[in-house]
Amino acid sequence: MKNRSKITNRDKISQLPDDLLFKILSLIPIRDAMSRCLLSKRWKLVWKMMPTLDFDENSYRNIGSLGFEEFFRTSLHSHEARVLTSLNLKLSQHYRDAECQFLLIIRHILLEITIHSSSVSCSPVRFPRYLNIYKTLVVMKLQGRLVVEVSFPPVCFQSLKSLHLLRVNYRRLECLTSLLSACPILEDLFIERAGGDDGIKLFNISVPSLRRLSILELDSNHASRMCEINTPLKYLKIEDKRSRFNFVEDMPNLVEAHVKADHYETEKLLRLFSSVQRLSIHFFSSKFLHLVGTIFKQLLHLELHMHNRLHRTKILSFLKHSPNLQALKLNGKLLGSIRKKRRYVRKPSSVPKCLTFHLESLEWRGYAGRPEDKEIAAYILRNARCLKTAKVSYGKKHNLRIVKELKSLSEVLTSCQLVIQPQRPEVSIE
Amino acid sequence: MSSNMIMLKSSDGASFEIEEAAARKSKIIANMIEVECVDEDKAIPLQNVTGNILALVIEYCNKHIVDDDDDVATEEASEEEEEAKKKKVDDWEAEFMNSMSLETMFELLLAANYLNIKSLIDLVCQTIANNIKDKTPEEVRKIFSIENDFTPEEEEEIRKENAWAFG
Repeated sequence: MKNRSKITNRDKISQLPDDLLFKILSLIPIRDAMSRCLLSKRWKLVWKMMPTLDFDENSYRNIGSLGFEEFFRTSLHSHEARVLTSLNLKLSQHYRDAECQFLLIIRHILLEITIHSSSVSCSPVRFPRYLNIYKTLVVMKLQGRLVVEVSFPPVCFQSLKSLHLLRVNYRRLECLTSLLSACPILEDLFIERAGGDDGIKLFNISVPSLRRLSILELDSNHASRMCEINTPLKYLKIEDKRSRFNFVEDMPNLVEAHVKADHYETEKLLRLFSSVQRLSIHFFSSKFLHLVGTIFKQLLHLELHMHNRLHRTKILSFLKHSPNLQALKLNGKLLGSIRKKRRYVRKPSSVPKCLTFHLESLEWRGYAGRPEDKEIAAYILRNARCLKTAKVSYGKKHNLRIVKELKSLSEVLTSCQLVIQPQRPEVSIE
Repeated sequence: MSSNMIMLKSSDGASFEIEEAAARKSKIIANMIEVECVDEDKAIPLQNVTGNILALVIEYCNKHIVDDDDDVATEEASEEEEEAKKKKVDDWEAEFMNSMSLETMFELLLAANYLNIKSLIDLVCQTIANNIKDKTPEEVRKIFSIENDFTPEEEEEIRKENAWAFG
């Protein structure tokens, strides 16, 4: 018994494997982690071998006699691991010459770097001719009040596969283009913009190795820009209502696309998207939706956001063009009066193949119970032979009538029940 | 949603029944299920985990299956609902961690590490980190019973060497 109590009192934390100690130390501010080297011999070198280092200027302020920059430099010099998996730098002051100084001293094999600035004025991130990390970086994330500057001739990020540019500015128009052309094996590009002038009116994304591209515009009132996409992608996400998008190259490998944009050539876009398996697309009021020859042979999941009554009448044509569709999600905006003139819903000449053989899931959000809505819902419910789940949610208005109508429509269903609920899922009727 | 049950057996021979969905929180067990190493009638032996710790692991996994399955629902839930739900989970986790001794906590961490349950590793590490943060070395040594094996000279030297960091 005595023996056992001795074990109980033993120092468990020092017996943890290194990777768990690294993990624990990475969760406290780096200065705290460093000072743990005083605990015992076991702890003396632990921080120097940590694979991830986070430097937050904000938490560093008011302590220590060294400036943050000097502290960062000394820390990296003392750190002894050869490989540094990730380095996160959070700046909150303005640095006039932060870039070279910060990056030049890194002699680790660094795989991932994040530089985030929340200072009042923008700090430049200038990529000098030679940096050790150009060879090793796989992921680079630049975020916030930074001005990206690439020198000429452009540098080369030999290993970079993932690049995130979140709300940063660019020194010159060509900076984004030169940065992209400096990444010969880039696969994943994430660009987030926040209105204002980030220095780029037109950008051309032409990176043959690129697989995933996301472009997000956070401010819906920004000035219109032009974006040319000239690269065969697997995954595309665009959320930018104001900018004009031009797709130059075919995308025969596209698997998934989310498009919330208004200015592009609809027909061309849908033709380029003919290989997708998953598609989520918004049709805004200004769009004239006309499906011509495109057949979405591989399309399994379709999410349509209809911002215009006219577009709803095209839902059935969309089904006709998607012979293998398994899941359909309709998202209607609850606009306008339902008492307006009835819209003509064009019915396909024969029942779409996907309804007979494949469609398993239907979800309709923002169902408004307009005559054309009812007609479409009735058509789908009557013809979908494989439905397993069906859910309709309606706006708060007109609910009793809608519920009643939907219930009578759903009587034709044999393989599943129709779940009818208000838009916010407080009550579920059935 | 499958509600297959799986048997787990601790190093000291205790058997536990757990839903497959909960057991899958452990990457190791999920892998075993993937490659069909799991015999329906046989319990999976876990040599490095004792019964009392395995019970805690299972309690944690059961509490967290529901949260992960809610992916579909999250889209519809309002922000307040989301926040309320998150707070409930946070409160449960705080209570869960509070209820155990430091010693149990370390055993739980090693078990989570062995079973590869990332969110549980994160939770325990965060709890331990909170105990280490903003404390003098003396205080930390006391909490975790760490023996100071430096001679006063050695300790002085480390202090000097790292004076720049300690400020």
